[in-house]
Amino acid sequence: MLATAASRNGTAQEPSSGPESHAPAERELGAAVHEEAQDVAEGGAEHGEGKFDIVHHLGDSHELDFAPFGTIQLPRLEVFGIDMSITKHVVFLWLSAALMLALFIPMARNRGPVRRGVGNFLEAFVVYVRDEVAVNNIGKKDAGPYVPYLLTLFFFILFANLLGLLPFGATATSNWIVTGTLALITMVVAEGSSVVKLGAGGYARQFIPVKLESQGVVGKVGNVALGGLLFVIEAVSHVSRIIALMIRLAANMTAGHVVILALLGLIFILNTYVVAPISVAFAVGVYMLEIFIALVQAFIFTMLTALFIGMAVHPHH
Amino acid sequence: MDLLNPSIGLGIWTILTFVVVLLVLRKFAWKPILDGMEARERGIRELIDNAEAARAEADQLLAQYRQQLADARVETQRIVAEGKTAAERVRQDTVERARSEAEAIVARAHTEIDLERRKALAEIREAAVDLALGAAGRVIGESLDEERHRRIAEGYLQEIERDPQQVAG
Repeated sequence: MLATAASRNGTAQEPSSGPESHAPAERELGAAVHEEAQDVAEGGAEHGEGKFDIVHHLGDSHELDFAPFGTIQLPRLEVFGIDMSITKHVVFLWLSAALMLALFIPMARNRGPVRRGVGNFLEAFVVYVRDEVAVNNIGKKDAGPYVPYLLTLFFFILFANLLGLLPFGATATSNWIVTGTLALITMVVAEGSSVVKLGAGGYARQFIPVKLESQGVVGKVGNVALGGLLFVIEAVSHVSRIIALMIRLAANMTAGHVVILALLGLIFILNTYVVAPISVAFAVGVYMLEIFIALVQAFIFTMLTALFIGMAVHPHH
Repeated sequence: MDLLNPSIGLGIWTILTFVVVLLVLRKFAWKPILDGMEARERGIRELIDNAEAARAEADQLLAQYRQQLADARVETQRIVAEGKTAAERVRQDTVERARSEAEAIVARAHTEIDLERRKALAEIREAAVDLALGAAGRVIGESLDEERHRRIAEGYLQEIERDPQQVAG
């Protein structure tokens, strides 16, 4: 990724700045931002050379960018009128999936009493997800069926996060469509398990969690009004926590990359090598932080999913 | 593409990818891994339980052996003490018996000596009477009536016995 940013911006000055390096930094920045905005307005897919384009780097695209070694065009597909193109983020979701299959299926085949190497390392995470995330939030009795889902979710997000930190990598989990879809799956699992556990009536009842038993005409009207209000509040809380889940992961994964790109972009915007050591040092620091954040966000997403399932299965806690 | 540009296709791909991975891993990875972990945990727990049970048993055995040892010591002391008293009794008995036997032997010896002495005295007396008779007969020259003389001599001897000083003097 560092290489990507650096190389793309290595050619940044050629077309955009007519007067070679005499141009003031402010004008350069203004021009870059302006052209970038234009680029976005045009649809963003056609990424012209010579622009300092953070959005392009973070966003989805129809090509894998291996600059300076060139790009790989990805196939465009349309199924029933829906754009089902294999985009960059789809490719990285698949890489994450492939990584999981490649790591965990061999680990499952190793049936010895003691695990070694990668399996041993990964097992610590598996145990943690099972005991601290699933059992602690859902309860020992009900956690069992959800553990595979939570494990898949955790490692899927973790690997997608980490793949974005590799050179030429892309962070699929910085795309709000991806995180939104994962959050939607969490919502379906949580609400679904609630319906299965409590029945349709019990599920509906938790949206009005208190008994409204006021008497008289005014009381009855009050009951209905208050019940409606509670229903709206509960419904909003059910939906908003899913939206929060979506935004939290996408924003966290985007933010770190933006910071790194901005720090490195500073070199080209200010058009001097003097800031390079500072920029690189800070970028490395932020990169370290991002490795940590990749882990933490995968954990938080999984933890909150387990929490929502726990709340759905035991509504009175 | 814009960062916020919604793409239904990507969402569908996400669902497909995630669900396929979930189903494949659940069957081929999570189930065996979790089952294996559970089996191992159960095994470890059993081992610990067994070890604890074995230790408890060992402790119990140790206490039992200690108790037995203490009992045995007490028993030994009792037996030794009993043996001592028994030996003492036997010794006393033996000594007692030896003493009484010795006393009996001494007593018997006394009576026998007495008897022998009496017999000897009687024999001496008889011999003396015979001698006296023979001498007296020869002195007198005539034979006295045997029976009378004997009575006289014996009467004399009895006097001597009663008062030996008189005869000697």
